[in-house]
Amino acid sequence: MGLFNAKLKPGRKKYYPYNRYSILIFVLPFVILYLVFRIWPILYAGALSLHEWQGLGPWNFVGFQNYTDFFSDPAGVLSAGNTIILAIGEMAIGIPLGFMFALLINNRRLPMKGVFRTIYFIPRVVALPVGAIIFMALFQRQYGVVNYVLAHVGIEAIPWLREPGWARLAVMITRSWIGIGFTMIYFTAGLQSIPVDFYEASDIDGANGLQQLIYITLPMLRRVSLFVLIITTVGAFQLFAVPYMMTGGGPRRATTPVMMYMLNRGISAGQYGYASAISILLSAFLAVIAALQFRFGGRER
Amino acid sequence: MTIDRMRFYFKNGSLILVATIFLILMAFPLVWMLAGAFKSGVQVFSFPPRLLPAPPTVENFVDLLQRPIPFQVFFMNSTVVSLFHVLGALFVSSMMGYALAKYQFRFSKLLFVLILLGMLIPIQVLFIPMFLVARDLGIVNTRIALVIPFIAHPLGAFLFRQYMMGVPDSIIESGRIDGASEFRIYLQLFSPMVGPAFAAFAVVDFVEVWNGFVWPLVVLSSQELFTLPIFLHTLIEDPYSHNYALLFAAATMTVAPAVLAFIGLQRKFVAGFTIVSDK
Repeated sequence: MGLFNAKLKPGRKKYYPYNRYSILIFVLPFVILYLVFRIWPILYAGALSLHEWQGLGPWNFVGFQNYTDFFSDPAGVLSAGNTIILAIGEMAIGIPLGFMFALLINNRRLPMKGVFRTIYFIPRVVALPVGAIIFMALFQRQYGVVNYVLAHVGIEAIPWLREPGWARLAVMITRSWIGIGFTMIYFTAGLQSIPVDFYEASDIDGANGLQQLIYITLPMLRRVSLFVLIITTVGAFQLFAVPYMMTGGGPRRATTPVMMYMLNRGISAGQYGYASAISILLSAFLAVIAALQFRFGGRER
Repeated sequence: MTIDRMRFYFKNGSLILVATIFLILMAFPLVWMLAGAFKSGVQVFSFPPRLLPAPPTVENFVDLLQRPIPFQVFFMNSTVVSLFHVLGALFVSSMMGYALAKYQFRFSKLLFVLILLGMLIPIQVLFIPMFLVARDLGIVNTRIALVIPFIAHPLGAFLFRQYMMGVPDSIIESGRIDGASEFRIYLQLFSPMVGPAFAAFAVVDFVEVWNGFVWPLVVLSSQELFTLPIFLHTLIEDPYSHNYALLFAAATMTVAPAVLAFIGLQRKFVAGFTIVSDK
């Protein structure tokens, strides 16, 4: 962005005259749509969250009751807890594997890197409902491939999707399968930004691969890792499609994330005030997390 | 010497082995789906499981085309929605980025802050109030509702601004001297310079819309308007067709355009994805 710095302040450089009103052509379509479909909904939700409203008739002012209700609503708290558990699980599986894949495809000695990279990344372009369908079949209790393979190592048929703990694990695995390639790409970019000299110097000093990993690679990737952590957190908190398809939020609500609970309260139950309060809480939370990304991203370079 | 060589082969061999095992694990679900699409309803869950269909059949695809609402309706819905979504977002958001990058005007700072704010809040979280806005506008259960709320794409505007700031002003100036209108300068002189950014944004945005699930689910109620991902959900819900072979066939057709777009435009895609996607 060197040009930006080189650009002179208006007034110091003579610009050829042009019709200033034509700027409106560029700005107005975006601004109108943006105000109606992005900014207005935020204000709408903010106002509605302080009211009780079933979708018809006058709004009933209730102050912050919708917010306090959420924290005393067992189903609401459960959905928040589920989201956190599922997010942590997804990241615990996906981030280390994504890092490992990045190390693999960044290794000079690996032939046909392009093929590996492509295959590792492809699940990312698969629609979430498709991923859900495939894993529903793989996790099928009696005839599923996963239980078939596990039977060979002496593990009895696991009731995936029927028991809360296993259902959660199934959701985590499905989501991480889709997300790994994404994490990998970020780590690959991070790895490629480490100067080769560091490794060469340490080679001369007689460092082995593991030492290089611990003392060079990992510290140099601190910033990228944080970025990956933030971006996957934001993604994981929007969890909806996979459990909606695979389990419908069950068994015993164990895979009902906040998004699903919010949409159930709002669209299905018509408690728009309450659902708006959840929407605002979630927006605020994710905006703060994403803002960290600007803070740390901004310091780079 | 020989020990060194052995070590070299061992190290290389184990590296390739590990990478290949993960390759198989990552590819297996999709391969299973693809193979399953050509199995009969009974074969998908044959025991012990068999990867290859014997004999392969296209009955699932035929069944999909002969449903009360044939499959091509959903495929067309997804295509039309994705096309307008991508073109609209590309056009409108790039013009906004252009204005932010190349003009100084009142409220431009405020606008930029609002765009950053929009980037911070994932749109999915706002689907409840967005649904109410769509209802007030009378566009619920229309294709329009799948397109226009997403045309003002804050991340798109931001990225175009960043990219366009790197393109010299002299192009614009030369157009002005020749007497072209501002819009024409943008369309004919400037936008060809930002082709790569357009392509990267378009391909990533296409995959995002094509795969979009939650908003169509919230806003559509008539089956004949359904896009592919929510059609897959109706297939799961339908007790009479809960047949994995059929599901796999439909899933294969859903995945194919996105995977082909990815493989065809891979370089643009990966570059675009690392910056564009807000998932």
